[in-house]
Amino acid sequence: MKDLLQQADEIPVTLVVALAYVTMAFLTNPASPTPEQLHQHGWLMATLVSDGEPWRLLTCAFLHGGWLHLAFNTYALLRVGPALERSLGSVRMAALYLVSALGGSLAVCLVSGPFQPVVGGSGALFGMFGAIVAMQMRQSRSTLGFLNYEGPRRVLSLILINLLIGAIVPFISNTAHVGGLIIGFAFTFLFLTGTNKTDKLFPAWRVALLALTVSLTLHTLQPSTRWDWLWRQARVTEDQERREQLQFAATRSFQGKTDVKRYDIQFLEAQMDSYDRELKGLSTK
Amino acid sequence: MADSPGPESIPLRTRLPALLPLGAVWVAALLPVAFYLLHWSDPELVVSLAITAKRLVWQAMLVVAAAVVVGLLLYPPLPAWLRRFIDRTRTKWSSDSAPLTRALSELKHFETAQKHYEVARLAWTRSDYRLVGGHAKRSVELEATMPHAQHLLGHFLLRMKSLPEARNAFEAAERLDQGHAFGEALLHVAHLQHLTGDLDAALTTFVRHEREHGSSPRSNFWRGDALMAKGQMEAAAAAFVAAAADPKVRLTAEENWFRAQARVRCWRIRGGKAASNEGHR
Repeated sequence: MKDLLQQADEIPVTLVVALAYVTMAFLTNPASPTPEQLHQHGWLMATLVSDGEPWRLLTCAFLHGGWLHLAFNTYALLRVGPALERSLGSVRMAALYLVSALGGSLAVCLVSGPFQPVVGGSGALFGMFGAIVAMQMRQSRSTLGFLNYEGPRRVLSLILINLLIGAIVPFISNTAHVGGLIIGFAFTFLFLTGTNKTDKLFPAWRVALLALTVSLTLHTLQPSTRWDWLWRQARVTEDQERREQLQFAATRSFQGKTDVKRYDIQFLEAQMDSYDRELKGLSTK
Repeated sequence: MADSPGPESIPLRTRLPALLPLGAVWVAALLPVAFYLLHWSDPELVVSLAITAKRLVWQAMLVVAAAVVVGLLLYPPLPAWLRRFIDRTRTKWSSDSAPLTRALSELKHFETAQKHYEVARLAWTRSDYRLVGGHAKRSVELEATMPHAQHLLGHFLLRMKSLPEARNAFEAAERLDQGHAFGEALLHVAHLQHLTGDLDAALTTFVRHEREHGSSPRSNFWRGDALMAKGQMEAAAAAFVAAAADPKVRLTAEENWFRAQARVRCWRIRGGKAASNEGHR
């Protein structure tokens, strides 16, 4: 009991995240949660995020799709989290987890289809792996000097093996892994491990990363190049000319080609109606 | 004592490898904003721009990949350039930064020519040109009789394209220590004599260098260049052939780069000769 309290004092963020994983799992039926339950508790779907539900960018990082998924991610969190939180500090650890989760979600919204649902904390966990690599890089005497040591090499192997598994297994979202990894690495390298006084471009890199993250987040909320968002814009527009413009743009974006016919628009309308019915069904069940 | 005495204006070309990725991140950050603003006036244009951009990026990536593969197979300087680039990057990224930091902090307490030289040398290994120039110059100012400091300053000035100053520095290194750095200073004197338009002196120095220190693909290539500028095409072709000859041993990435360039010069000269023979017929 004393050990547990001491741990809770030392690594509160890791324990809170693990607790959140388990709590959300029990709220959504831990054995095999249904799509309705996951939808209600905040799974990530690009079209929902752009429809005014931005919290899904973060809530999805606490949801899991079953026992195995939950066990695997909790194990990884409890293996990596404590050491990382002790080195970084709890506030930075919390920031790292959230930013990495955001990075994974942004990657999914930008790359995967607009109706692709995603759950899981693995994007954030990959961000933690990226943070370890970044810390080793910053602490070693030369940029690649950390590769001389066994520990960092193991972390790199772990990242590669997991990316390979993600590439092979169809229902794993490697996009989220890569997004989380990149943002976790960059965030730790530029913000969490102090300033590099000898590199004059360091502050410029900080501003650039910040600008990129903000810009991509705004694009995820208002995706002007994605067909589903354009289509919804067309539905709420009262101006007839503007509506037609948006419908044509949406259909073009949907088809990925430039010549659009009237029947293409009708087909998309039917498609969109069925998506809407499906989503409405999910949220009302 | 200041860390870097006297700011150096680094040419854009030298700064480009550091600036390009930063520029790419900014472009990526500004694109969504531009798309959003454009979408208010013309949503169709945004969509077609995005589709076209995506297609073009894929096509460009395929073309670049194909060009790299073909280039690696057919054009000798490309693999040689790649090897030299990897070699330089590896040296830059794997060189220990602790001695540099230590030397810089020691300089804050008292300055010596040797300490400035040490900082400049370590910064040179790490391609940190902002540090190199100021410290190498200061080292030479404090102690003008250090051939290695003059030599390093020469390298830096050559990289910055300050050719007459670089020539002076290499000449000083050679004057202070004949055959400095195994003839490296003398070879650079010859090369800079050529680049500053003193062709006769350059050719004499190249001959002296070969006599005293032997030849290498680089020395032969530079000599060939000088001979070509002088209009002695036969002798230039012979120098390029010597530079391109199979070395039997593994060359360093730097020497290999000159050998690869010499091979292309040989083709060009042979091609030129063939074309002029065609013209005579």
